[in-house]
Amino acid sequence: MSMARNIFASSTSAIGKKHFGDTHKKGFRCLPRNNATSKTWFAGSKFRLFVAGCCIVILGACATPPANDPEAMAEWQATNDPLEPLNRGIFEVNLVLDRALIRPIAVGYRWVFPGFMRDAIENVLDNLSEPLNIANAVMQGNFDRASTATGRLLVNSTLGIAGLIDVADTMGLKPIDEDFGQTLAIWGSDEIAYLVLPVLGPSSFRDGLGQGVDFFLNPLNYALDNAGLEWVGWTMTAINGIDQRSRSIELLDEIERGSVDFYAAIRSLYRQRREDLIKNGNPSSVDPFFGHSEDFLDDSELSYVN
Amino acid sequence: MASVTAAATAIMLGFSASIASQATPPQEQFVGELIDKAIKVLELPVEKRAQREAGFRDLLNQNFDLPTIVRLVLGRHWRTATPRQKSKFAQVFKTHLVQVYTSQLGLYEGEIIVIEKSASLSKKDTVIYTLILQDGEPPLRVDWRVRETDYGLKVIDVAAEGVSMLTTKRSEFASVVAREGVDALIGKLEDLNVEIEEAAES
Repeated sequence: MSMARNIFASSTSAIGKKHFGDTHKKGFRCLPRNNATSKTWFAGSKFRLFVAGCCIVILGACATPPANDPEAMAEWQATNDPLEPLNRGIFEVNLVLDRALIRPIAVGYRWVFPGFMRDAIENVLDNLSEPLNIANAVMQGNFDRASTATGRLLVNSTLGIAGLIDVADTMGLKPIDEDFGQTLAIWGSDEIAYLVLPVLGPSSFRDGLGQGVDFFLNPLNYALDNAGLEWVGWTMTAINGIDQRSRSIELLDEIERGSVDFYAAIRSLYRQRREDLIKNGNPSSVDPFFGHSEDFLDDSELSYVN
Repeated sequence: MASVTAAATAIMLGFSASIASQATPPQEQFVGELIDKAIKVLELPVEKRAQREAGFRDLLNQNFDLPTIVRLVLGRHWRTATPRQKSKFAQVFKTHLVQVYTSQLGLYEGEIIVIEKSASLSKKDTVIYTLILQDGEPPLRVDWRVRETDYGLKVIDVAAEGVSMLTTKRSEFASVVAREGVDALIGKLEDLNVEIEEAAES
């Protein structure tokens, strides 16, 4: 049961940062060449057409909220998935990949390494991403959390032996989890639309962008890049992904077994987890009555149930 | 034995918390008692599935506001459903809930449940914040939404780490109904109930 906390917390894992960062860099490098040949220019215009198409799809979907019906409105907002057919396709491919490769590796990882070693690995990786927590907490104007994260970085890097042991936790500096997707949310961005990323899984336009920005925010990535040690970053990314997956094996199995629509269940879980992270665990403002007063039930409806 | 001690500790913590704060809302006491009852069911060995299932069914029937939950979980599609669909859905969904809880909640392993605080949300609704503590694991936040009904206090939603059972199920069901209709949802839930039952028996 305690594994529930890991529900796609991995969306903030380094995997995203690395992947996104890489694509971005390639994009920048290719830019001058693209303009030089007509063939790539065509590809470029096609790409732009695709982006424009996506925007139309999204705007089109945005244009039709059923405003006169609070329940339909709530359902529409809870879905917010204009790219659903595409997302479902990617989700299916991810599932195949997960069953064939990622889940077996995660099971093996958990079998080979004892719990204390896996915890130490997680602690080291978390400690390395602490600068991101600091930067994002500052950008959110949450100096309380920024100082907690700074304290954690200082304590765990020294007393915690390069992050192997989470000493700060026992001193009352509880782990925090901030990323640029959350910062964008604090700045007022909604998630725009749900998005399933290849390999990485559930995300949104806002959170996907956030992962890209986080890659550029992390000083570690620059250090590794300058030292020609990109492979270290890739290895860390892979280990982090497998570690995260190994912590939710049974949970995800159970959710899949117990749902009539696994895709929709994961979409809802991802969204609620993100909302909870953005609110730092404070009570959600989501109205479970979906626009109704709490007295909407009348006796004629209750009779069907009992 | 260890689990019995832990259960005792959990009960003690519940009590000491209620002694400490003079005016304990009845909702906190209600959730505390519900947790104690749930622990008793969770302590049954996993092999005694029928007993566990019966235990959960009783817990749900007695402590959850099922009419409201059933109505909310079908969302706007409740209004357009036929009377036959409504009663059929209510029946399969209740079985589904029991099945999901029976298979998802494992054996009680000495977790300590602490009632942290409660907050009133509206005239009738209160959220009780609890923490589930287990050695070597980060604490798990579980929030209970409790409502004052004509039949006493009842739970209408349980959320773990901000993920609500009601919202998740509602979103899942809405997705199926939007594409295939209420009858298809009822059919899928029936199939799933049979599937889980068979998987448990084998």
